[in-house]
Amino acid sequence: MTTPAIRITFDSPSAHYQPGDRLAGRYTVEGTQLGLARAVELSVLWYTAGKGEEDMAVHHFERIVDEPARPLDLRIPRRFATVMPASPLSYDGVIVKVCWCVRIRVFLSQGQETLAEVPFSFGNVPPGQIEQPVTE
Amino acid sequence: MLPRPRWFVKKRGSRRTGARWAGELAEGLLSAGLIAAGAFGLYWLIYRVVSAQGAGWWPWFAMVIPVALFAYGVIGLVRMLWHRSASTERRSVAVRNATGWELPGIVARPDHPALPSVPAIDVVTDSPGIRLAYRLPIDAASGWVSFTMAAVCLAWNTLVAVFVVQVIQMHRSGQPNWLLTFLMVPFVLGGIWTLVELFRQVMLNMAVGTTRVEISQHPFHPSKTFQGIVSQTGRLHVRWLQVQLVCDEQAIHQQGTDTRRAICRVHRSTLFSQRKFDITPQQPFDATFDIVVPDSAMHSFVSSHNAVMWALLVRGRMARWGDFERRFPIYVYPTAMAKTTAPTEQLTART
Repeated sequence: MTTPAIRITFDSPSAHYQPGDRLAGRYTVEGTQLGLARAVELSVLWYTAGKGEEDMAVHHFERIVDEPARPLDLRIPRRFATVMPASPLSYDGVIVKVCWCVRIRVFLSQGQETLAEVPFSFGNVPPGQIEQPVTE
Repeated sequence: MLPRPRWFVKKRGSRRTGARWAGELAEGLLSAGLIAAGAFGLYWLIYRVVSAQGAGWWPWFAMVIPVALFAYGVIGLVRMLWHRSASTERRSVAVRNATGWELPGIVARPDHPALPSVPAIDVVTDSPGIRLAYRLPIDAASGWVSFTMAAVCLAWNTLVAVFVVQVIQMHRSGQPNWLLTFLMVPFVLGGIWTLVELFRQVMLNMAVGTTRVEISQHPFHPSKTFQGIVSQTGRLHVRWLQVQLVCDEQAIHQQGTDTRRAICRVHRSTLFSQRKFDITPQQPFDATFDIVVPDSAMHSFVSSHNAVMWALLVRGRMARWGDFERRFPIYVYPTAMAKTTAPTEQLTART
């Protein structure tokens, strides 16, 4: 079985947002048939990268389940939208990085799952520059 | 194909070195084993010992052991099933919803902004200043240095004293152990060194006196300028004194089985500097300075393992006492939102 391709697009071509902005877009899952996916989860989240252990928090979350009354057809584009919070802003530091992304996780009927994520920029904080070497 | 089991391998933090399903299976078996052991222990205690004549109270206390095993196993099993049935994002949302309850008796303070992953400023704004709005609390870490030194000095010298007394008694009884005596020399010298350093630290704290820093406004915002005052007491001949604005990134990570903390300084600007002056108990040193938060500043950020921390550092070099540094944490908030924030649910497209 081929892995379905998840396509996520933002309404804003620059994918650059500020606090209070409305983040909106759409997603489709290509290569799926009706009834192949059990559920799909959309998350707008931030996570940390760098030297430390990864932390993450979900700002916006949607879960859509395949139901007999409402079959889940992911070939049809689905819209999402949320208002961005005041913090944390995207940051590309030396040992701490804060990354924002939209993540789609598809749960397939055979117990498998696949995910895709598209990063976006939040805020205008320039990359951090090392002033003093790392100490431990 | 099953991966070859590796018995002697260094643990790599939270990263896996094998298949996910194998780890979950092992975790499940361990939890099931704990539950079985706890249940059997409880059964044995209740039906074999408690029912016996003259068993006393000890079986009731001993039940703590199987109950703990049972509870540990159940928690582990539930946690594993929860991890298996829900995605990382779904679990994160569940935790956020569970911890977002407003507890009775805790009143939200509307004048204090609450931003996600940005530390609250209450610890600073709760302490009013004399000349400016707020007096900054000193970082507790500097107090822990003295406490740790005192604890190490006490523990080390107590142990050394026990051995020294025994060695002296051997010499007095006419049965000297010269090997033990010579072995004790470096330990005694180490004890003397800890005493000297502790004495020096205490004297440094007493001589340098109190450092007070006040600020005109809090929290700080990028590209804004604020006023500050530094006040230093003591009896000192100061070679130089500086106030610096610094920003440190902090990352907590696992290395093997150790938890380590890495710190990297990404901003440092000197707000105030003065050379060669005296401080007397009758006339403390006072100076005002401007705090310019750079436009490119990342706001204060804190999560479980990562942080971006801002602070004012008061650093100096004294004629007799050497260098000292005192840290006063501050918080930089992102520039206030100009747009009106609508609830997420109203704007979320539903299909």
